[in-house]
Amino acid sequence: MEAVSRKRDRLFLLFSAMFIALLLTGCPKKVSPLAKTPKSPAIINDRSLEGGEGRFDAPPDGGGTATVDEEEIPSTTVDASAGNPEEPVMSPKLHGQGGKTANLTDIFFDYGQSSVRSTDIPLLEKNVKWLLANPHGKIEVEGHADKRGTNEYNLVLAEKRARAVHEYFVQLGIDSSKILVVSFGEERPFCTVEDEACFQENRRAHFNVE
Amino acid sequence: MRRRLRPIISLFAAVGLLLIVSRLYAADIFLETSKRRSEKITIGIIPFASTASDGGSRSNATDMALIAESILKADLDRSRRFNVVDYVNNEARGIDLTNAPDKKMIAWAKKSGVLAIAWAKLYPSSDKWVMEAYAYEAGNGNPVIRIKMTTTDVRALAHRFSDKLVYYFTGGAGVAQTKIVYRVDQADGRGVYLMDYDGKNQSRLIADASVIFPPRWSFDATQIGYTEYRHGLSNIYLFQLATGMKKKLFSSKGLSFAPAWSADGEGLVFSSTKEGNADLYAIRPDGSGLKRLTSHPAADLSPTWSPTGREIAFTSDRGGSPQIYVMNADGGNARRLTYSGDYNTAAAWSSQGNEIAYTCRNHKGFSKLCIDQVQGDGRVEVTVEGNWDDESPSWSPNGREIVFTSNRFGKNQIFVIRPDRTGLIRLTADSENNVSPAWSPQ
Repeated sequence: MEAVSRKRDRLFLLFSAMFIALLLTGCPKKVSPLAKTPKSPAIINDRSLEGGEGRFDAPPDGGGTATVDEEEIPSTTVDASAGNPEEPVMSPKLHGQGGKTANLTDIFFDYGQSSVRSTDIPLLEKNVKWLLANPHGKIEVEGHADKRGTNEYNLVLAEKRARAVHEYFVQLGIDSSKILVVSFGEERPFCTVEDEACFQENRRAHFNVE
Repeated sequence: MRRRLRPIISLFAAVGLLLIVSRLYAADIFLETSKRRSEKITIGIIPFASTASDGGSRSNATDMALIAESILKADLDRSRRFNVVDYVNNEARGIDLTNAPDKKMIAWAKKSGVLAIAWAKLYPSSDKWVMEAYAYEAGNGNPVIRIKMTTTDVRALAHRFSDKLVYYFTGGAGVAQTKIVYRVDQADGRGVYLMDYDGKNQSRLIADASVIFPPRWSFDATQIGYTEYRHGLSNIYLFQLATGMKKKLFSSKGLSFAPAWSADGEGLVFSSTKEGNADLYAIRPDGSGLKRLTSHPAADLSPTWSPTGREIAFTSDRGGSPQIYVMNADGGNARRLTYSGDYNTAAAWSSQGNEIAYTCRNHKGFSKLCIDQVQGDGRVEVTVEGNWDDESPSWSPNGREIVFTSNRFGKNQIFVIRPDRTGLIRLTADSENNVSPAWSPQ
């Protein structure tokens, strides 16, 4: 008799414990809608109509973004000339004209890479030889990327390419202060055909010499 | 002892059982309510009325009213919160649809099954347009919106009416009055442009061929941050929309670009190669307080703020390939977010939560749009197939749409799409390269 009642007591305790556990874990969260106050641009003369109390009636006497008697007229077209660039931006060269400027050959890069190919080092050396032999002003090293990938990342990648070439030039004896590193990312392609050959032609460092 | 305990325990258990059942019932109610919240609100649009100005010349008010009405319907439809009922083609026996809704009209509309009614009257006033906009709850016929709005652009009036309806009936802010800034990269007309969220009112803000970086909005949508880049030198400017003036924020050698504003407007973060490789820098809107945030030899760029302002997501190739990372606003605790694919860049953090949209790559190497949750797993591919590039995502302020650039039809054009892949809208359709769109934060 004693043993059976003890078993039943244990069962009762067990079930009660389970219920308590369920109680504690079964709370659904109350979700309140995100009733954000809209930040309305205070550019429109906004007036509540007489006799009506709408949600967007301007509060009496000041306050709120939609105030009564606001006279400002919004202008969606703003003509702001930030000034003309001092020099015209380099236009893409016609395909077939070759990538030489003042006897400086373009250097080309592997996909996603900014390091100078070992096979291109002789080309760089030839460029440096010409520069050292001929009087010149500033040397602009333009870095470019092919169109694949995002604009921002390609701007950074193209600059890395130009910097890599700049490094070589300096090591080979060019005065660093005469070299300007410029990046155009994928923005000024040499060609626009959608094939690997054209992509390769766009992954380049190009030179302009004064 | 045990004898007395048993009834107490059974009572306890019975109460517990009751509570469990009631909680389950409450859960049902909760589910029902949330389901109702996501259901669309049926709204009837009574044909807008128009009058010529008093004492003025006959105007094209009728046309303008039609335009305003169709814009409102399009906005409400696009919000996905409304079922728009059009009464233009409905036979309304004995109901005069040319005046402000009266009790009879409201009762008739209610019978047709709408919960809300919207109507407006449009007329010119000197060089502006006036819209008197009304909305009613069909159930009790109470006017819940009665507003008179005046401005020069009729489209703006319709968009504003739409936002008011969205706010009143859903509690959330509408985006019909938001703008998109973008870059045009074409021989003629390079620069930074602005357009409405539906692609209308395209205008050039900044005419400068040297702008090759993405323009960025200030937190309060009053300024556009952009870079003028010439001869290897960068100047970050803040263009003031109200005045058309530009204010220099920062200058450097190399590339300094795409400043991201924190939601509270206190801080900007941008990327700069002034020290050699691209790193992230923080600066105050007045140009003071320059602080370097990353100093890894790899490239760190394209920052975007979390809505709390406590974290920044950005692109870094410190792991060997460009991936999205998240770090604290002070530059500490940088950890990698994206692990699928070898090219994930151009992160955009939704202002509504912990979703980050970015440019990923599909198996063929084309740029596509992806979304990652900041916490936990779950990468969503918004666009996947197609031999074209979808890039440069930017969220709408309500986190329900993404604007991006795509060359799926030839030149780069600006499109909008929803994270669930529906709702593709084309915003530009010209012979230009339209790139780097950014959605205004409000």
